[in-house]
Amino acid sequence: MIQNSFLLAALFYLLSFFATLANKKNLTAVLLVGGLLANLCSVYFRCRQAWPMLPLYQAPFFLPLFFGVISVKVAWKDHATRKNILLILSGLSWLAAFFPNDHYLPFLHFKSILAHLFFLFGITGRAFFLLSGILAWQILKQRKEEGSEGFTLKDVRRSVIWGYFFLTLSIFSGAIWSYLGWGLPIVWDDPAITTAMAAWLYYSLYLHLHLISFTTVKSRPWFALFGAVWVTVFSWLPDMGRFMVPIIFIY
Amino acid sequence: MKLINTIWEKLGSIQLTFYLITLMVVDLTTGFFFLKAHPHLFQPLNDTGFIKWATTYAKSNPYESAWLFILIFLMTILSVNTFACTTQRMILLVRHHGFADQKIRFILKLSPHIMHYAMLIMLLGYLVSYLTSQAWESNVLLPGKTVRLPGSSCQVRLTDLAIDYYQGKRLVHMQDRGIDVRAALCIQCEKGKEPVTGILGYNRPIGFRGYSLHLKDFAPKSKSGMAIRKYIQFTIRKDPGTGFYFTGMILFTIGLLLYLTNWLTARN
Amino acid sequence: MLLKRHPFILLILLGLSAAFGCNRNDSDTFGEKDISDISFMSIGSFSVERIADNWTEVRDGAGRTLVLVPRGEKAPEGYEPQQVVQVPVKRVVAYGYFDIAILKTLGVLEDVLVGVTADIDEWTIPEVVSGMKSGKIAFLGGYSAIDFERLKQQSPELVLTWDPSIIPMMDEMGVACAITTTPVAMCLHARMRFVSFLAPFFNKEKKAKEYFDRVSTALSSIREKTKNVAHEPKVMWGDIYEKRVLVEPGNAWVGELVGLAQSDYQFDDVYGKSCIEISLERFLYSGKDADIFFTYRTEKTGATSKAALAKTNPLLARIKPLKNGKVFSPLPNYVQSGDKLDEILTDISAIIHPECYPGHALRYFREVPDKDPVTPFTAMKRISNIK
Repeated sequence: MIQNSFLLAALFYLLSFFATLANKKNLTAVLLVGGLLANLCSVYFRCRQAWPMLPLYQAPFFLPLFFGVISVKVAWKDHATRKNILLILSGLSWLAAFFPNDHYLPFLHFKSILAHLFFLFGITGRAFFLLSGILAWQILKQRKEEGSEGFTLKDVRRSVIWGYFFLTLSIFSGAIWSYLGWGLPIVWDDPAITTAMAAWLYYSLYLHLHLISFTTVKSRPWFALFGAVWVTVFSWLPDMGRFMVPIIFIY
Repeated sequence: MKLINTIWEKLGSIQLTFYLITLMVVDLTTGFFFLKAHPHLFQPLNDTGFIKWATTYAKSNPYESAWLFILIFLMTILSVNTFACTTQRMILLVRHHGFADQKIRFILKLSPHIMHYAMLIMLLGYLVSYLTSQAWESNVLLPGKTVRLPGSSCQVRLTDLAIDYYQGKRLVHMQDRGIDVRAALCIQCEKGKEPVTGILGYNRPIGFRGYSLHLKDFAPKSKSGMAIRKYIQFTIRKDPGTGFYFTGMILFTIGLLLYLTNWLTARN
Repeated sequence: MLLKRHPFILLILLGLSAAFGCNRNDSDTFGEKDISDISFMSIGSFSVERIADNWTEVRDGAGRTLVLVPRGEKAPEGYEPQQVVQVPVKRVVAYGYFDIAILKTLGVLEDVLVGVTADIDEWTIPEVVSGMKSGKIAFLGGYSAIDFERLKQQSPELVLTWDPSIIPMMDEMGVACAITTTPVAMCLHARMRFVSFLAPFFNKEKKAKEYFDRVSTALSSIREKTKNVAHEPKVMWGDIYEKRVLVEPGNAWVGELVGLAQSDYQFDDVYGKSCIEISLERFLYSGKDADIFFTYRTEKTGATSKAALAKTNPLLARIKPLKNGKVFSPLPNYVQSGDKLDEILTDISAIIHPECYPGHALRYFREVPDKDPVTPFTAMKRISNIK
């Protein structure tokens, strides 16, 4: 059920991408909502299987849902953005389906509200950073197509600020949890600690860019785009497992 | 005086911030690969203290641990840079805005500086923690037995160990296994005086006179199976940096909320 | 021009080249130095540090610190009495088979071992059997029912154990205790180097080096023999016990070895402790096209045949090795032959690539047959079932 509901979500996302390619706006909406609902089901079953503990290595399955929900409003602003968002959404979900790492069983240290907050805030932050990257890409494309009106750097900044807010909350929740659970400000067992710190520093820098004389307004979308790619790759890699064809395709 | 002013201004340069953070991001990315490839090299950082770790594990593996020293070096410069930069701007802000008019606006404009100072307090906390904290791993207590708090005359006694075993069907891998552990501890320092009591559990430490006790393991884990002695295993820590980094976190969160408020109100 | 204006770009490139250019793996670089030349050595979660000419500080598998002091000499300050061990240690109680095998490697088993937690009929190490027969080595009871009075009579100076619950009793008796298991599985390098953790307790560093060199040579030989193999079989190592699925993670020494011997270890992405519990779905998924399955079970604990294994747990019957692959189970001497790690590694390599080891006779594993052989007893049982 867990795997199948997620595969159904991935399928819906892919179909909604094709629907948007075919310019079928209503059909896209229906398929996207279907995908989000199926993804929500998968997320629910995953949590249910571990609650009150935090299910481990589930970020790849949660991110499409969070990213999909926060991008809906932006996706409906114009066709090109919608196409890109759905492409990324679909890509993320298929990658998660083929490279799962969800075979670990949670243990009692993961039975804490702080563990859940750390995870959920972290995913929300990443989803916002990803959205900022897509908006930045749209801005870069708009520049080539002169005269077109669309997104501005303010939209990118808004997304970055919310991402930064949630990432900070995630890091702090994680730090408090780490102290309560292990008595440590940082647990040096998980390489993801370095990528979380790097992402936080990177977006701290992004929020200072307007003060730096040699970084022009033109360079900022590139900065946001690079950040989104970096965050996605480096917060994604540790959560991904080896290549596995979903069992439904085998039998 | 002019030279000092020039140095002060250079130290607070935002360009310097840009270079430092860029280098730190690269360094941390490098660190990701080294941490992944050599977990055993970095795990002892959890309990040995930085100086001890640097003179043993890091010294015998300089290539694999170099990124961490570079990070500390960059972080030190960034701390100086942040202090100088934010202090310079605070001085300007105070000069150009009277306290009397637009108090709320002024406080909201302070938000980035609150965050900057908070970050410095957090970093100070980490510094204190890694330089001075002590950890005593794998202390074991059986019901009725005692352990001495290192460096003190206080005795910790396990008065009761309550383990709830999961009886439901939903968590297949937890069936008949301990899902909640409550170890009642009694800490006595002087005879005749009222002892301090507390419940130790996962993510539920006991704090006492600068020490903190953290549950690491327990037994028996399973209701069925072989009869195993009841015991708890816990870590004792003494970390003077805790107060700093939690104060920093609270301040940073306040600053961040003010920044968001400022940004949202300015937008509207 | 760009680099001149923004020198940090050059630094970024240098940093990234350092990160991505790093492909040296753990076992190749980490601590493979001659112990006699260095003052500090880490061995997985263990470490050995020479803190002065005559003092050695060791960190055990649970992160506890012990200081080794020559007999009759003063211990350094700052250590609790139970942390101080007088070396060379003369009387040892050991729980783990591997620890005892390593004592044999160091050539001290017959001299120092005074207590074990398995009865005489469970031993395949001749020195232990004869020691128990002569009364020098005492059976102290199963690990969950240790007879502490008996243990006290044996007057050990050191207890090597994986059970932390005995630490308070040992502290009361004034006996030093070292935990020899680790929260994360020992990698191949740590398994080979573990001997260097125990060696300073007995001043047997030279013997430790000889052992390490011997196992290293065996590994080189395995690499050489298997480097040109045409087929990389898929291997899994673990078992299902009722509702629990336990496997050897990729970071464990067996997982590493299987990869090193040119084969595809099915759990190489799993990280954690030895015998880590994973989801049933993952186990069955990896089992659907595995070629070789190493079970934890011995013949005595149910691995008499594939049919018997399938009967123990019908879910296990779904994996390919039980249907038309190969299943291997450890022989009783496997767990007690840590001193012959080179031979065990060779055995595993020969199982994975029999074509590279023509005529090799397995010494530590047996291939599990499809069905139990028909004996008069089983025949009777079948007949009575039919009736």
